[in-house]
Amino acid sequence: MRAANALFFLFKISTLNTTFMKKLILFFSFTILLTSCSSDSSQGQSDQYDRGTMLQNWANNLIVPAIQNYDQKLAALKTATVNFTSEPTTSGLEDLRSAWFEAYKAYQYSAMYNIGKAEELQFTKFCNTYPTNTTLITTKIGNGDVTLEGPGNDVAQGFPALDYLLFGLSDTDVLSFYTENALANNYKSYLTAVVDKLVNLNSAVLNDWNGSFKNTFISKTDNSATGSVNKMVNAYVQYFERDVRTGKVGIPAGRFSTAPLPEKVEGFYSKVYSRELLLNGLQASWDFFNGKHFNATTKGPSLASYLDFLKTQGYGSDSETPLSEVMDNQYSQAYTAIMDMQENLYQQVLTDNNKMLTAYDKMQRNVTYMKTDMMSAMSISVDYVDTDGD
Amino acid sequence: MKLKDFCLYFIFLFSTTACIAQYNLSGKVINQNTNHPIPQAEVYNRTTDKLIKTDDKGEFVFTNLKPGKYTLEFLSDQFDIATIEVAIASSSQQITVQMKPLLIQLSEVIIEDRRNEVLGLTRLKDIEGTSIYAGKKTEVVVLNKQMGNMAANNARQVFSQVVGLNIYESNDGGLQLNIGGRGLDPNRSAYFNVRQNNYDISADILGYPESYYTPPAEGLDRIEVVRGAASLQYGPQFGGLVNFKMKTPVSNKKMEVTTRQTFGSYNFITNFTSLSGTVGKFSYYTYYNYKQGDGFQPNSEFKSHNYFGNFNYQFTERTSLSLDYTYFTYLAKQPGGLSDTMFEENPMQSNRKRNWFEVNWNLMTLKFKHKFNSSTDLSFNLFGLYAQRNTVGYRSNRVSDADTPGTVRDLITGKFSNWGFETKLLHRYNFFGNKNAFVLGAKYYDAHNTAKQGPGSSGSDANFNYATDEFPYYKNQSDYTYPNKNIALFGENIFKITSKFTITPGIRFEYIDTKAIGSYRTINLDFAGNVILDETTNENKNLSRSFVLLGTGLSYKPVDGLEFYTNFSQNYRSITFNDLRIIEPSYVIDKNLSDEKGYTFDGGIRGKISNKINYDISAFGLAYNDRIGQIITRYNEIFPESEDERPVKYRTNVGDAFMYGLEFFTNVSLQKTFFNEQNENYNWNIFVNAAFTKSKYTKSRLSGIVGNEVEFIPLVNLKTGMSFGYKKFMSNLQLTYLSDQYTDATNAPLDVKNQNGIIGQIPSYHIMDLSFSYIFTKSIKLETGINNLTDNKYFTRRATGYPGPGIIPSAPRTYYATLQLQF
Repeated sequence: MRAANALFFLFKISTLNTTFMKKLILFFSFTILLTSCSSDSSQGQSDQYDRGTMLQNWANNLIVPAIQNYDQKLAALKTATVNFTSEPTTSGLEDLRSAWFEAYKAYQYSAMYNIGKAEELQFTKFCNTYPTNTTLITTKIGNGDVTLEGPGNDVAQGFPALDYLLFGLSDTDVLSFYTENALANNYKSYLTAVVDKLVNLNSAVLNDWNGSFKNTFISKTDNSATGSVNKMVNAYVQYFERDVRTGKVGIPAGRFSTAPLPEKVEGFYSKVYSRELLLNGLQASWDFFNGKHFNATTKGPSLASYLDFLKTQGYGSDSETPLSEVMDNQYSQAYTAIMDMQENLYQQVLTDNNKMLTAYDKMQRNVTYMKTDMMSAMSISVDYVDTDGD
Repeated sequence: MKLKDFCLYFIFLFSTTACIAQYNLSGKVINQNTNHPIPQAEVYNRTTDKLIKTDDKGEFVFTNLKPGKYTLEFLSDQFDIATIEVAIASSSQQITVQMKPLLIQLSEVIIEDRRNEVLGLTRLKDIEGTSIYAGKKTEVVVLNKQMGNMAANNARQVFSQVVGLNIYESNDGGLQLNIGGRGLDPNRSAYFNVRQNNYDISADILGYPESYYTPPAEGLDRIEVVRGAASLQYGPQFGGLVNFKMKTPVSNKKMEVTTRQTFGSYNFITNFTSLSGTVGKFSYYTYYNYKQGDGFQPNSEFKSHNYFGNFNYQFTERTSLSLDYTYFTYLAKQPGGLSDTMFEENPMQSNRKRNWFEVNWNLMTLKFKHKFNSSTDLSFNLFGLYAQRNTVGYRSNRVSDADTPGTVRDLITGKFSNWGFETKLLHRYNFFGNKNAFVLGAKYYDAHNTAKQGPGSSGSDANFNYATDEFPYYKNQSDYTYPNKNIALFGENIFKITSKFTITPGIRFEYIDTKAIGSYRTINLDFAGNVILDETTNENKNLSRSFVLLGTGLSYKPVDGLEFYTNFSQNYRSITFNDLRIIEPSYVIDKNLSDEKGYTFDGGIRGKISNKINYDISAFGLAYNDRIGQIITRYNEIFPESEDERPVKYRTNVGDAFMYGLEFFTNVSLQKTFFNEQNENYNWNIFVNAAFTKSKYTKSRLSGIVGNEVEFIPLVNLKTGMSFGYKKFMSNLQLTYLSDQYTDATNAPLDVKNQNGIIGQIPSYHIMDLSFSYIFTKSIKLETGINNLTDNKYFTRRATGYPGPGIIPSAPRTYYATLQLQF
């Protein structure tokens, strides 16, 4: 209606006799028309959920404590490494192995936070790429080469490399590689370099969190693709789908290939820790979902409470149940399925792969809940897919 | 009305129609002082809207005229315009026209201006050739009036007077045109039907409507733009039609040579040489254009060759045949995109040293035109394209990561071979005493295009061969063929209800058959990069559909120089190849995927105010429905018989959006307004081209999108400029301003810490361009100028793939100088 009136008004003007003034009037009347017609622009529809408080809970009670804990475990790992390399003994090796395992378990909690500095440094790639490339490690050690920078070296460092160096060098006598072996010094140097890299990577991440990043993270409460919630949820889903489900279970169980690939489990050389590491990974994801403070029982606002706020219900036959409950239950089912397996997942695949497949399916269900139900309820889209060309 | 009156009325009608005789109006044009004839003078019959020229003896003739009054205008360089009214009653007329020589020498510029004014060339007439434009929003860019860096095809200068265009700028000397508007993605002008001399020049008009070839501005006579509710005669793309009209052969010479040499910043060197002439019944216009440059970023060199030939044979006055051939090839190095952080640091940097892009275009057309009589015209156009487009490089999403030499690159090669024909018949007829016209047409289009993706070599050169020996397990490998068929029938009719009011309804029937046949490889790797699965999946998709589109335009011209127009048209955008392409198993395509449909509405006033002010003000609304996008859903939601609940990427029609706004254009001759003198030595003009646009997503299967603004829409899109000329000198200052725009549906704001640069707003920017030209003699002209006068650091684009991904920065201050020789 306004447009019609304006056009009529303009017609009237155009029949006036003045020329330049006419043009000015025309222009100004349009500016007025525009301002009267403009309505509030809506910048990214968002629900009223208090993202700020959730981000604070995540940063202060889950993320930084987890990274700090990992940092401490790394310090212990470093100490054990120094002790071992200065004087390689059987008990030193035992201590080193324990420290490695403790740090590895702590890593499962901090690896989930692949944002900020961690994303920039490609943290998980350099800490935990497996299966490790034993040929490359052997070559590097042979050459006294301790460079760990660059993308080709991700398969020769991190926890999997330590797994090999501490458990995989020999079936019977690992210690000899650090004592009698002609290249013993090289082995010790390489071991030190790998541990140092792990320490340095995490220092950079922790310093960033203790520095300006935490405040930046907490302040970006908007719900667009670059907001903190959006990035964290993507990191959370990717961790569960890729790191936990695919890496620890899916690939060894043969879901991504024509036959099972048991040698591709995490902790292949140490054998007996694979299930424990998997449980830690699952627990880390589960605790984050519920907003459970790191190493405590208190729960704060997180994805479960967000879903409850949105009143999101489950899918299909679960439509009477809140989605948060459905997903919590699904985590529990996955946990049970994993506990049903032996500690050595490599053996598990060889003796009864069906249990691996069951555990995979339980986790897969939760991936579906996350990607199709949870993320759409929160208006977040998956961003960790590469674009393909033109 | 009694039956008797009715019969009388019909008898009267038949008798008037039966009694219409045809007469001639002929004459001779002479110089008032010397009585010598004036050859090649332009004679414009304003009443019938026909333009002819006098022959060597200064004689002309208009044939087949009905009795009535005719206004004739006579134009010739260095003579005053003469206007004569002639009445034809019951016999042919013969007149002598005297033209008075001008007392002062007019500059080329003023002559052209005068001609444009008389012939009203800045807008398309109701009927041109075999096309109807009545009631539509049209704009015509007359190239010799535009000032700016023509050698570099600087789109913001060439298109400065086309309202509301969002233009992507890039580094490649203007080799590609990226224009959009009204919220349509500017990338490669894919939302416009882009034509050259009325035939399509894009890769595949439906499946891949991207324009890799753009005609050089130096070879153009004019650019016709018909907006959204455009022209069911061409193909109802949402943006409308952009038709590049090449220069026509010079009619009074056997050969005219024009050569232009340009030098610009960053080693920008171009040469444009054309030959144009008429020898008896044969006429031709042909040019060769070479461009090279280093680009303002490192790693951005380019080199292009373009040859065009237009050859015409005029069998008789009524029948002509013409052949057009275009050859275009270029190789450009791509500097890649930047993240927000990188742009803030240094917008001229580049961390991609191995990315290359190559295009090879062969386009041929044969056009046959025949005029049956003064009322009926026929055109038949046969065209074919054989082209290639190849790109190799490192295109990771991690924009801030440097590329590592010696690693694999991604290679995409595409071949486009298609042919078709289009025929149109225009017929003017009388209906209840008014002159109506209709156009009927048919189009057939047959395309056979291919797209292949795989590993490119690990080197750094422009190697477009697949390196499958070196990298047999490269993750993205697919090979598709896209045979496409399209048949369209269309018609449009101008109904002149009164002499002032016309209605132009139109209809288009379209049958489209889109196929995608090919395969993709699924290669799974473990986290260490070892291959654990390698299998090939075959795909065969066939989507066949037909539909009818309607549109109508209304035009009311109460007085000469004023028109109210409004039009409405349905639009569509066909499913493209990329919509049908599957590259990994987590993609599922909706078997009922439909084309994107919508409609456009325009309404406004345009006209002239006493030869001083030219204006066009309109409002528009564009409904863009059934937008194709991707959602994540469960497999068994799509295939209910299955129990598989895994999430898949489902490509389907995801939602609707609505764009609306105001478009305002005016061109004011200040020297006529303020000084009111007929001083032909001066020329002082100002233009304002402003668009105010708003938008909203109205429906979406993705949550959190409804209510958001649509991407690529700045609220304010302003171009304004002032030109000043004195005798042989012309100058022009242009200011361009665009306000903030979003680049995605979630309306992600600007984030300067963002590591990837693909998402986020494009902040508002403004640019100033200054240009000058000086005509030494009729044969020698110099053009020079400065682009981005204030050396602003800005960008117009965030790319999601090639040529980035990431932010594509715009050029800093650059200079250019062109010398034109014509003889």
